[in-house]
Amino acid sequence: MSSFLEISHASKQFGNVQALKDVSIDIKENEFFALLGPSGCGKTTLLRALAGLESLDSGVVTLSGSDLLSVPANKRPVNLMFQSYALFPHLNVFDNVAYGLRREKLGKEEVEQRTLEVLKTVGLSELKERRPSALSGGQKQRVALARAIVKRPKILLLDEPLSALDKRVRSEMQLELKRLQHEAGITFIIVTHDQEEAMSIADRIALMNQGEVVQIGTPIQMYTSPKTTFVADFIGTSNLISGVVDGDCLKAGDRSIKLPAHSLPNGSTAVFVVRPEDISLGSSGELVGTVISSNFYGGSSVVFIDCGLERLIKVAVSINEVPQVGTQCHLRWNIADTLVLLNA
Amino acid sequence: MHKIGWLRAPLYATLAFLYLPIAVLMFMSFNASDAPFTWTGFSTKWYSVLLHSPLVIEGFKNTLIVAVIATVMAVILGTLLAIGIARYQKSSILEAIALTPAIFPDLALAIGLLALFATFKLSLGLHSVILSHALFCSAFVTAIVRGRLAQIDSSLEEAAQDLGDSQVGIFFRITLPSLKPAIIAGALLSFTLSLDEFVIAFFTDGPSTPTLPIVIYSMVRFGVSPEINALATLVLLVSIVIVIIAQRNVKVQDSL
Repeated sequence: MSSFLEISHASKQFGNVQALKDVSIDIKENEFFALLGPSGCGKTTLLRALAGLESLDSGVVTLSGSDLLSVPANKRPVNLMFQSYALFPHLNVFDNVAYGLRREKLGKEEVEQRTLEVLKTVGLSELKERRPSALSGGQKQRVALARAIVKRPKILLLDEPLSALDKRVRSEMQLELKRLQHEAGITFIIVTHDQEEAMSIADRIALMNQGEVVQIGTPIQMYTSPKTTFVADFIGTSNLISGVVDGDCLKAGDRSIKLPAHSLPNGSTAVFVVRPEDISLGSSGELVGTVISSNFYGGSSVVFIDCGLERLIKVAVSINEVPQVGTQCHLRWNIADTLVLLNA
Repeated sequence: MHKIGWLRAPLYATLAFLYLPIAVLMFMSFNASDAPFTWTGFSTKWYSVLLHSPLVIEGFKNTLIVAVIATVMAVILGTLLAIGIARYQKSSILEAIALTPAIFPDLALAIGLLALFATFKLSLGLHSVILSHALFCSAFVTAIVRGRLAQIDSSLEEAAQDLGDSQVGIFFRITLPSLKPAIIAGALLSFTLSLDEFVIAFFTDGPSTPTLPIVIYSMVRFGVSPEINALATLVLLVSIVIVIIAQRNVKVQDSL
């Protein structure tokens, strides 16, 4: 498939801060794409540039082959759902949602029919007369969503859409967003700092850091083959052990860990990555340590083990295998499940 | 609550301090006597004297004309100025300059305006009072609207733009409605300020078109007559009505 939204070499500077540094991303039609990264990584700037609320210093953005940046914000086939929802306080739910349609100079009946239809999709038909101030956080979020999709944009941009909701409502809304995206057949681009959210919701993720795209891939690719230590650290939970490469081993303090096949030169500083769920506890293994504490997460527990390294090693175990605090454990893993990355 | 009952004492003292003079004034306005502060019996004659005094009627009419036109001008100028400062020109110096007329001594402002009108050879009359009051009141409107602008989410305007609205449409459909309570509050404040403003009007008014405060002043110069009490009571009633309207308006907006 040819690319749908093509962002190439986008750069933007705010004073001394380089908000976007030569960012290039291709997004496919009907894709659920996540821009993920810590706060201040430039993801929101990119989103606002796509909406037309921010200009780029340089770079090209094309939508289905035609230039997007020369189109003013109020003419772009792109809608943005604001983090603050930005519902108009003086208008009721119906008028908020109908606002965009009325600006298209559509007939009164079409406006009403399409508005009611969208309100039904998001389950707000009953509340159409209410003012935004009389709605709960989840309801406001649905109004904001309805208002953005009612115009049938080619791309829907969502700026941290779920950050203001509590955890239970959030996971419910994640499912609903996915369902809506599927039903509406619209390309969704979501900005989030929550890697769990990006992993569970998106088809593909672009992880950004300090204005640059670090890696683009599917959630599984990002998880299983991170390109840098930043990715390995940001996506999911990992154990990162830094040390110096010595042949097929990594020297970390007085420990030596066997590395998977690599082409790193001897003496370079590198990071060994192993996921908590790939480690098992037993009577023999690569590392030995003492159990410090364990955290229970419903289905499984994470045990923290002090192996005399910089950081505690996290190991996921099922609840009936949690060792006593203070016991000595051997840590074992399959070398094929591990990674070694150059420490940038 | 019973234990702090004694705290009511300062409350009542404060209320008495604030409202006793007004109560005495209103009471004495119904006094039949010719002497303003000696009670001899109930009468509404001073109100009818007032209503048959061409000078008072003329003054009241002039004051209304000034207050209405100056309020309209102040609201338009002040609102636009506030939006300009808040949204487009984030300059604290400009902001300070815009708000200065509100804290400037009236006397200095009045003399300055008179000097300005003289320099430009502008005749004095209601038009010069209107201009002066518009200037003076616009600072208050700017301050109130500016405060409201700081509270409202600036992404509302961006959202409207994202939904396909033009700049002009956004101004009338989003910006103005969300500023409505502040604009109404500013208008009411301007109106009441202009209504009883004396110093600036005294300096910038012409001799043939006195406003009500100037009329009252000229009456008081020859001693306080009982009709002044009646007049003050009426002015007070107008102000109270405006305060009630203002408070209702604020309450409605708070529940939004």
